[in-house]
Amino acid sequence: MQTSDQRLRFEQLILPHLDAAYNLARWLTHNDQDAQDVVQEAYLRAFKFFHSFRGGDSRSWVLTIVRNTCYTWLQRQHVDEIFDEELHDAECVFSNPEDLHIQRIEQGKITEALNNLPTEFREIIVLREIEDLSYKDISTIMHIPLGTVMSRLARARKQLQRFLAVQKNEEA
Amino acid sequence: MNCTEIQHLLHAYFDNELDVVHTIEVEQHLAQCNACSQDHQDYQALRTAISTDASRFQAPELLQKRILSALRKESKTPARLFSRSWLSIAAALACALLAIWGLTSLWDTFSPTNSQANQVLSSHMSSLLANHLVDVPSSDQHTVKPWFDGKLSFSPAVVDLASQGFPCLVGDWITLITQRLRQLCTNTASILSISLSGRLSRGKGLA
Repeated sequence: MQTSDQRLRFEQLILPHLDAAYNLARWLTHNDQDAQDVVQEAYLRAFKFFHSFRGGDSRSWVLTIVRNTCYTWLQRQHVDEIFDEELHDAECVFSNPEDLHIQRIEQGKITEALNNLPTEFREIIVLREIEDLSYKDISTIMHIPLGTVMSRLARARKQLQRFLAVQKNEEA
Repeated sequence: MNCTEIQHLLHAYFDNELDVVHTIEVEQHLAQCNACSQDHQDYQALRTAISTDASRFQAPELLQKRILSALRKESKTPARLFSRSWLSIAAALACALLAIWGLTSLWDTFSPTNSQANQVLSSHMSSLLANHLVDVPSSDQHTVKPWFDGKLSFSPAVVDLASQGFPCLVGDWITLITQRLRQLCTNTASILSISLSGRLSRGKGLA
């Protein structure tokens, strides 16, 4: 059982990351209500295991739990895609690099393109570009080595460019 | 460094995750190579687009309230009298005690100081040595009694088994034995009755 002292400490340390937690959950679940449910579940889980938090980066700590809760939720919804990094990469290899040069990205298109990315690519873009997290933090949260963070980010960006280029070509 | 090597480092450079030495190398390359420089500009355009267009969703106020209230409820919940961990410990202790008790009983059984139990056990074991359980399928007490004496080193006594719900199933000779034994002391009755019930349940008779 957590004492009220622990609860106060939890509220001071972990609650300020609620926006980051909600943002990640919102991008992964695609909707507000599910994101709220997932975040609440994740926060209660975090509170339960708060005694295991040994200091350090509290944002990475809680985002790891939020991410895990999101993936459990996605599995329950049967919306988990089978993620194959190489397969997704292959799609990029065959696209014409010239098409990937985007001079100007229209408003609204980037959200659509992000939502079309595989979950693992979408989350790494969200963590890096929106949450501005370091490779080390991303590595902790996503349980992947630093090298994989770098290569996955590269692939995710290429794929994002590809989506944007396709959208642009469709409009042309 | 060639373009392939630079491409490998470009994202780390772009994300400020590269050490100084490599950063300088990448910068020098970008100054000379249009293709790599273009890629770098593309990533920059992508970053700008994301930061201006893709939302950073704000948690609704209601969510914070919901979580706060759930946390307060959670921390007020009294500790359960028997939490799961305590139950596990109790179960482990119970198992350990049972094991100790079992071992102690076995030790008592085999202990040379417990001569009576030892005698009963060895007699019983020797009675089981034969391949078949009924050695003397005869109702003649003059045949049965010597056999019985040979098998057991003492004279076990039983209460009237038939009257206690253990009717004789395998022949008159058991009745004869029980009638004979009934006259003797009764403090070891349970030992024989255990043996009897075991055999009778298999319908093979007394050994």
